[in-house]
Amino acid sequence: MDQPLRLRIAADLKNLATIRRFVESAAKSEDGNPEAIVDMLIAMNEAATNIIIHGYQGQPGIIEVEVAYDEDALVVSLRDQAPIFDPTLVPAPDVTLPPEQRPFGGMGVHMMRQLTDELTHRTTPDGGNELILVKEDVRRA
Amino acid sequence: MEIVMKEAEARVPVTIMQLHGELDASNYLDVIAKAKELHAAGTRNLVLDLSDLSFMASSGLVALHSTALIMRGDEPPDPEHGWGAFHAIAKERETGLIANCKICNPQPAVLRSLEITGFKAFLDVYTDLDTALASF
Repeated sequence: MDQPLRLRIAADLKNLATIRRFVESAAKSEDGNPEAIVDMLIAMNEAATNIIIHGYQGQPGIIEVEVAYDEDALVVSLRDQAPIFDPTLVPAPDVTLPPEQRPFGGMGVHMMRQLTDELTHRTTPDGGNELILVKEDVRRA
Repeated sequence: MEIVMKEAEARVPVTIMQLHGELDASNYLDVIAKAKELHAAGTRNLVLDLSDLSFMASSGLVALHSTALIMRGDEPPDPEHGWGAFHAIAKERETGLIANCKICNPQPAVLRSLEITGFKAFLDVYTDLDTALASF
């Protein structure tokens, strides 16, 4: 794993663009595949939005963003101190259910799953959340 | 994000809403508010010109969907209605009930969001403004 780049920023919807710029800049500094980076930006943005809206629920908080390459894979970690929530446990949309019975909250997680190769959550030693998004084959030779 | 309005004459009067910048959870309500304002002022045919929109989150999809419904004279859906609301607009497309709101020229990152959610099939999406206007 390369040395990660880090951003620590207030959990505010107005900061989503800044977080995207940070991740994009860090990813492109290694000549990453632009289309794969867009996928990561969309997925990461959904994760950060969920932290701000559903995690902190309008209360002040901090999001720590870490970006690194692990060989050719782009790895983005989001850490927060909101109540523990594991988005990877959100069930995938059940296509056997009538659409009107599918929960809205599943759309962001659906996008995260579709646009990344790995999505993992862990509880940090200090009791926070860490969500790790991995997109393979991003760094070009 | 900046919202710029223009008027055009097709077979019917058409309003063009250009979205410049990035559409996410911090600003998607601005689009819905503008759509309500336009509808209250008499607008019934709208093109959402996405030529200069470089990013769109899932909240942007809610804005597009809500705008289409507002142009039809409906209340935008409660987000809690979720996928059901999106399904509803798909069904409406089959019966031509959303013919008064078109999407024009989505750029690659925006197109990716539209495609990954299956949303591209829910609205009339055109590659250029002239074709979108001619569709009314």
